[in-house]
Amino acid sequence: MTSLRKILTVARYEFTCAVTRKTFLIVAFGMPLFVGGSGAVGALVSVRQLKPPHSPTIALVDEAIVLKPDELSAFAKADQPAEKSSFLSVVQSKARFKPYADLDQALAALLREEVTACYLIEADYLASGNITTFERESKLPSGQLPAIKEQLYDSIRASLLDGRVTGMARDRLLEKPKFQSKEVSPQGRIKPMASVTHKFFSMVGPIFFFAMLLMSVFMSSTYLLQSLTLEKQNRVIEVLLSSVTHEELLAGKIFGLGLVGLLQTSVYAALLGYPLLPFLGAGGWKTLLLSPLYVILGYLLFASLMTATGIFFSGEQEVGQLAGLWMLVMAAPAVILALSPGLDSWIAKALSYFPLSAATAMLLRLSWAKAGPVDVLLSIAALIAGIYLAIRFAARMFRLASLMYGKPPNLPELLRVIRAD
Amino acid sequence: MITRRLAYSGEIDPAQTAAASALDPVAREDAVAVAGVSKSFGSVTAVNNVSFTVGRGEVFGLVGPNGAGKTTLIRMIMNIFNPDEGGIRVLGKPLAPQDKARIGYLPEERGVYTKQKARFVLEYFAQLKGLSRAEARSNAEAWLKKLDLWEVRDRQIQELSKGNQQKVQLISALIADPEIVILDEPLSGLDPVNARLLVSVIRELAAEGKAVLFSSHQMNVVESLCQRVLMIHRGKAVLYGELDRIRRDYSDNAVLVHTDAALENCHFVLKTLPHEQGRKVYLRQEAHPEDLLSWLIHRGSGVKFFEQAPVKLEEIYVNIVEGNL
Repeated sequence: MTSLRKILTVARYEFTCAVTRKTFLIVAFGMPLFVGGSGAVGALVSVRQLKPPHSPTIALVDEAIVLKPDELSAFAKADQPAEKSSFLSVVQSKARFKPYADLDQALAALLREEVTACYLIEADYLASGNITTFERESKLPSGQLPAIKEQLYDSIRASLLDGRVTGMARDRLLEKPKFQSKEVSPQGRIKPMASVTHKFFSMVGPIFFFAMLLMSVFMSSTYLLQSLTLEKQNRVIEVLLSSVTHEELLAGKIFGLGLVGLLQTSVYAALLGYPLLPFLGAGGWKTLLLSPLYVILGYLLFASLMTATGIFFSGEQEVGQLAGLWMLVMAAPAVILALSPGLDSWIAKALSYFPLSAATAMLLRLSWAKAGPVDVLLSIAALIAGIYLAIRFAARMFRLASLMYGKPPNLPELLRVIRAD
Repeated sequence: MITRRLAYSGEIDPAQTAAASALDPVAREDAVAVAGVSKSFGSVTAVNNVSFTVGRGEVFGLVGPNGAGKTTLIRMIMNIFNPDEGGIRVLGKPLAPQDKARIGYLPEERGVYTKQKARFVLEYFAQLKGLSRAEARSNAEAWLKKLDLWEVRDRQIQELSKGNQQKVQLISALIADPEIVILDEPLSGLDPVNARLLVSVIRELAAEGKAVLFSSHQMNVVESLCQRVLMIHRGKAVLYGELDRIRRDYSDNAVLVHTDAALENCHFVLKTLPHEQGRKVYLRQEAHPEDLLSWLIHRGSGVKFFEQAPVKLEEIYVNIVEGNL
């Protein structure tokens, strides 16, 4: 029987066992559904927020008599819809002002809860500009939005300008300027500024995608570690080694569980990557195509290293702690990059070319930076070199420790065993 | 019976092997030939210059106390460990990784995937031994039926009784129809019914011409199953050869006699002790049982029972381990 056939037999078994585990189904499908579901709930809440709310009614007492009758009659009209704005901006509510003859009547209406608030344009308004607002006592902060005050100010301004300024000058004074926002790329290309919504998803989307990919690497590596320690715990490993060599067993496991990681990544890409594609920043399609490659390479590296270190343990707690430690190593480049001057800085490049940090750094830089072909090639070369060394190291440790039961050796003991081998 | 080595000298004697081959063509090729293997782990020497052979159709006993090096020796034959010195030949050729497919192994540290179904696990192990999926399925079915596990084939192994779990483990060693079977403490934890079943399976395997290497602490089973044994102690072989000959060699030169003669008067007799068969008579070192029998006949004494007192392997084992021999 060829070595390859044995490797494939082990790989098929590991793949079948892993993908039929409940934990895999939860992580592979449950996680994106949870993330997607959370997003959907958030969007739903936002959409509901965008619906024009019932306009608040404000009692208005104009002691300065600055408002024209037509402005006052416009206030008395039915509810006016709120101004729709972008996904993340504050809803621009429009109020319905109800004129009152004096402050006493207005305050009485406020206490009867017929109005939300009472605005008094002071008699000396033209001199002082004072407008006093009244609200019912509450422990909550004021519910009046700046837009309502602006609405009143617009009306006062229109009344005061009426007949004094005409034509386009009046229009410009009454209407807000229409800002046209543009962005200039480092190459000098001018383009319309993306909406706040787009910018939000462009920022958050890659974070989600990166987190999911990193989780793929972590989960697959952890599956491998769990598989090995479980076999050691169950004492199955000796039965397996009576049929296959250490190298065949290790290769089969890495291959089979690597496919599990790839399947998981594909699920994430399908469920999260493609919807987020327009927001995957500088990378876009490049990100989506190269990410699985970095996931696989990252998996091969960390799975080997986790095997090399985890084969000495057989307790679930010890294995969990070890996996957590490796998760920190995996995530550390992201923290360093967050604190670095930028994703195209020399630190970012150095991390991209160092095997232990290359996968994480490149997964981040593909979305948020201008990782060029040189960066991609050098990082892949670094990863392949790292994987080669890690697999050799893992195979040696696996051969040494796969049948070592009981208390794991301390470092001096381990070094003695390695030297003796 | 093929005459092989009668006493251990540390090396396989080619002349003796050739002589044995001439007597019995079936035994011309040893299934396993271990020659001077040693294995150390750091400063600890687990196996020290051990040699032995196992023939086809033979049940060979490997005995020794815990930590003697039996499992290390077996792991070297299984190509799990490489010997530091010496060589191992399997079915006439130097041991190679592909020989794993021809050797069935039931380790002492028995393990099985407890959360998988019995049939699924057996098919996996069979495929690892090189069987196609169809062959693996067919062999698994045959063995499950043979050992009365067919009804529980699709249950998780952890749901099976301990005895049935052990049967699954045994099947995993035999499913690929190996030419050599290595059983490390196969009877440990088995109830009498399953122990008897296993013994019958071992006899069947030997009858089919397979070489069975049987490692156990249970000397009575070794005595009933094995023709030859190797005893190792602290990594070294201390006893090797035919069981009958070993028993003779380590005999305490005593006979069991039921007679009315006054044995104290016989000059061949060293001492006598009461025994359920009559008396156990210890002879002087230079005397033979035949001498005592002639003396009794010559005197015309009545003899109801006369037999050389057997020495149990267990006694030899204990004496060697305790340093009395």
